[in-house]
Amino acid sequence: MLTKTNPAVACSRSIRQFTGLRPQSPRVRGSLSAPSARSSVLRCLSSTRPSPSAAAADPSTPATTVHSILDHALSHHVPRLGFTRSALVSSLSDLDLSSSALGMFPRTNYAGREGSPELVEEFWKACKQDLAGEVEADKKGFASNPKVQTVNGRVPSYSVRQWPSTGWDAMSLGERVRAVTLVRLGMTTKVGQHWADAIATMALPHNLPYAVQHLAETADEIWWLAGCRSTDLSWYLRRASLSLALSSSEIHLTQDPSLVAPSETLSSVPFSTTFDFLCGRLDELEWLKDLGEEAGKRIEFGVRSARGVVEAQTGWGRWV
Amino acid sequence: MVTRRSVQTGTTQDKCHLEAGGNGGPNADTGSHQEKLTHFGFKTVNEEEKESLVGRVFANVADKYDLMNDLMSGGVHRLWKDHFIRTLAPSPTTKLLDVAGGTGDIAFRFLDYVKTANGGLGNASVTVLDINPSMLEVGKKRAATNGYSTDSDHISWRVGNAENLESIPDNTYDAYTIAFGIRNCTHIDRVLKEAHRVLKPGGRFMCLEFGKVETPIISNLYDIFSFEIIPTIGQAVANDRESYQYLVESIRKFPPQPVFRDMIRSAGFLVVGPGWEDLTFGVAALHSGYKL
Repeated sequence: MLTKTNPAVACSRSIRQFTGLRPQSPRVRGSLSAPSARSSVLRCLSSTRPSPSAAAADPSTPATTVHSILDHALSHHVPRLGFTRSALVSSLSDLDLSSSALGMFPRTNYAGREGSPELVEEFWKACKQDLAGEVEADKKGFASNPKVQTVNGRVPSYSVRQWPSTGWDAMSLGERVRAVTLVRLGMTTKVGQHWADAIATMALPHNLPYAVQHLAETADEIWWLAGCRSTDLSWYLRRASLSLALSSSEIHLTQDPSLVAPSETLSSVPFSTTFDFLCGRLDELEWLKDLGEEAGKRIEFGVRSARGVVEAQTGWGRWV
Repeated sequence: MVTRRSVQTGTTQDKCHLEAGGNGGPNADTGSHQEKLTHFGFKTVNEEEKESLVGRVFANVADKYDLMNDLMSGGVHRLWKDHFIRTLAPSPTTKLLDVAGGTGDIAFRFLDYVKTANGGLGNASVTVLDINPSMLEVGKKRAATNGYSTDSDHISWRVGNAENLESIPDNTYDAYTIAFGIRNCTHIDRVLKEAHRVLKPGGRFMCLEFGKVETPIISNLYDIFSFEIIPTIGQAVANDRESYQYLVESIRKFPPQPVFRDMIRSAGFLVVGPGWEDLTFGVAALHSGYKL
């Protein structure tokens, strides 16, 4: 198990100010139960699509910002069209805007491009904002009824099924990281059909820096929500290793059998092979950590032995 | 050097005239008993005069305009314009108003882009508007050689003033482009207001214009090239030193990129990110604004 840290320890957050990984809005952190304005976007992705005309007719949501156009595309068109230029164009037409407004997304709107990196990034931002709320929902559901298979008529997430019967408060840091990472991966499975295209878009050289930054921010958010308040060098190691596990699982997602087989025919939770894959990678990370410690001990032993040999042969150590 | 020095003095002196008259600043009314002044290159002229002076320049250079552009920029202006249209990335439904587009450089690129990217012109259309009939004549001639009929559903030509597009109703166009033209207008703020008016919601204002070069050594070389070489080329090729002297001076009088970006913003446009993209060290800059 990874080092167990008591999340209740009110460790200074100043470390976050040096990391450059602080969230844009202070509301995101530490307000686990506050409903996020973006929550609706992800919820829409998983549920049935409301009619676009109804959304466009709603005068309370004018399309005055870049984000409202992206959010509209995410909730109404991405489930069908993927993270594409077409999804943005449909969003603009729903909002009665000229298609020229596509120029506000310059990395999408340039000769010959179809994938929309701006949409993928908006999806990532929405995920990051919703993560705390989703984890909190799992906690509440588990607390109200830990034994049964459904909570409020909802099938518990893969994450909750992995929880030990003692619940969140008794979980070790490693178990919590696993729980939160599974929730985060669960968000990506909602757009599983389009994820291969999204990865292809974000892997283009001009988008790669944004992808790396979002990955780092996501890993940081997961560790934070799990209660990690480390201020030592393991801070980097933890984020780097979790990024690796999460990104490889997201690549695995593109090959998940749930994408080809209708979910009713599968006996387990949809995308369970991807979730299993992630758990496997997280287990390996713990094994790697043990290996690291073991290697450290061996090196220390080796150095001591060598020093002993040198001392015995030369008598050097006695004068030092 | 002598030329440059006198030139710089001129700049400081008539800055106040520019603010008072040209841009309708807070002092705009101070000269009620005095003529409103603006700049024409480094000269200070009456506002009413500028339009006809600019008109004369372009009537003089219309025939040699495209050749001169190639000579002065080493052909790079073609790359700027290609990039301009790729950035606009028009669709087969785009209705474009190309202002100050007399010789059709932007219009033909627009149509070519739509044709190549979508396999046909669809409903794409461009209206080329220019204050100067002689520039439009050059454009119409080029339309014939480029295989476009002079007037069709896809391209039309119109004489008009960018500061007053009264013949065009509100919310008409998807995109408004003005390439190397806004510099010559007397009231830039009026041009921007009109652009905002004729654009549909979501419409895009795009402007390609000379900018300020900030890179130290490059800017010195650029100054030498502008003030020593360009007027000489103008003399040699178009037999018109004055017009090209005006050209380089007017470039220096045009507001630098951040100032022009703020002007676009104050006309009511939404500016995304920095609002402009420098091309070739900022010799030219591509500005964008959206009507929302």
